[in-house]
Amino acid sequence: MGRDVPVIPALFAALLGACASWTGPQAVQAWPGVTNTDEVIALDKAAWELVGVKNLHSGRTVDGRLHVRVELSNQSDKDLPVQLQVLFRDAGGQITGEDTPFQMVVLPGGAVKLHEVTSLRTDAASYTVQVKTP
Amino acid sequence: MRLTILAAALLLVGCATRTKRTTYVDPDAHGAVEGTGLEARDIRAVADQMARELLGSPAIQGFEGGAPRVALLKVKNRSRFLIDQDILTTLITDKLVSNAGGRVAMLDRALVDEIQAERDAKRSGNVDAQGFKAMAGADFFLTGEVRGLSASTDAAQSDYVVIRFQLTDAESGIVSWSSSYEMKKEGSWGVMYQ
Repeated sequence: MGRDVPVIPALFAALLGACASWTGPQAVQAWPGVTNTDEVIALDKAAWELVGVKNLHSGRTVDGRLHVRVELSNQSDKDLPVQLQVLFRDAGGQITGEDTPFQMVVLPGGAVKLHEVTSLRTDAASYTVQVKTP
Repeated sequence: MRLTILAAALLLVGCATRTKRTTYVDPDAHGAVEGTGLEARDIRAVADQMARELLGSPAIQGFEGGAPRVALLKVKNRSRFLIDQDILTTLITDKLVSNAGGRVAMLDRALVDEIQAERDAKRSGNVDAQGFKAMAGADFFLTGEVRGLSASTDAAQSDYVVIRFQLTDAESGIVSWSSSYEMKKEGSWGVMYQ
């Protein structure tokens, strides 16, 4: 991966940061082209300012479970420990109860890291990824 | 004399008010007492990852003839940390039994003696029975181990821990699935794991 890639979200984040301020849990900042970021929520200001979503995808496994694939970027130049949780929801939007624990992930400075989770239940229809700093 | 008594009383009161209150904390949160070993959030993350990956493994997905039966064996701890060796398999079982919808059957080999005694009592007529069935045999064994590498100076400690699980075919002995969870932590000395 080229070293110039993180510059785009960094500029994007700086632009957003200049216009917006932290008002409580909200969608993380997305790389250009990523539209469905309402499914990735920053729970604190540091996560909102420093974590970006580069790619977000979900699909079904052959046995009908929901597979979530999210690429998170660190928009700072230092190692960033974050905790990620995936909540699965049924077709009615209700949490199914098989949420993952808040898993610790260290994002190296300027890097992008893939996080993948598959639901255990087949009734999971949608999801929310929650990101916070420890 | 009165001054001495007063000073002693003040000292006692001072000590009493410094008593630390116990509070509930999120098991995934950073605690006030943490070292470089396995913490609650690590245990929870390992169990969650292993349960999800195990259910999605080709050995389980491609099994023919009903739900594959998995016997859990005790996790071997080869790290320097003292951990409850049943805690991981307990959490994995909970996840799969609660959420996998019967797509995998977990066998409790810890209760074999009790089950055998109850079966014998039923068959001898000492207790009544609502039918007899064969004891379930295992299609797979799920085994786990914890390994670690440690380094330290006078002031700091570093630990690299690998927790690995594998699924072994109980007929052929072939390893059908395996997965590792890795973590590395650095910190100061002084936390005792019990």
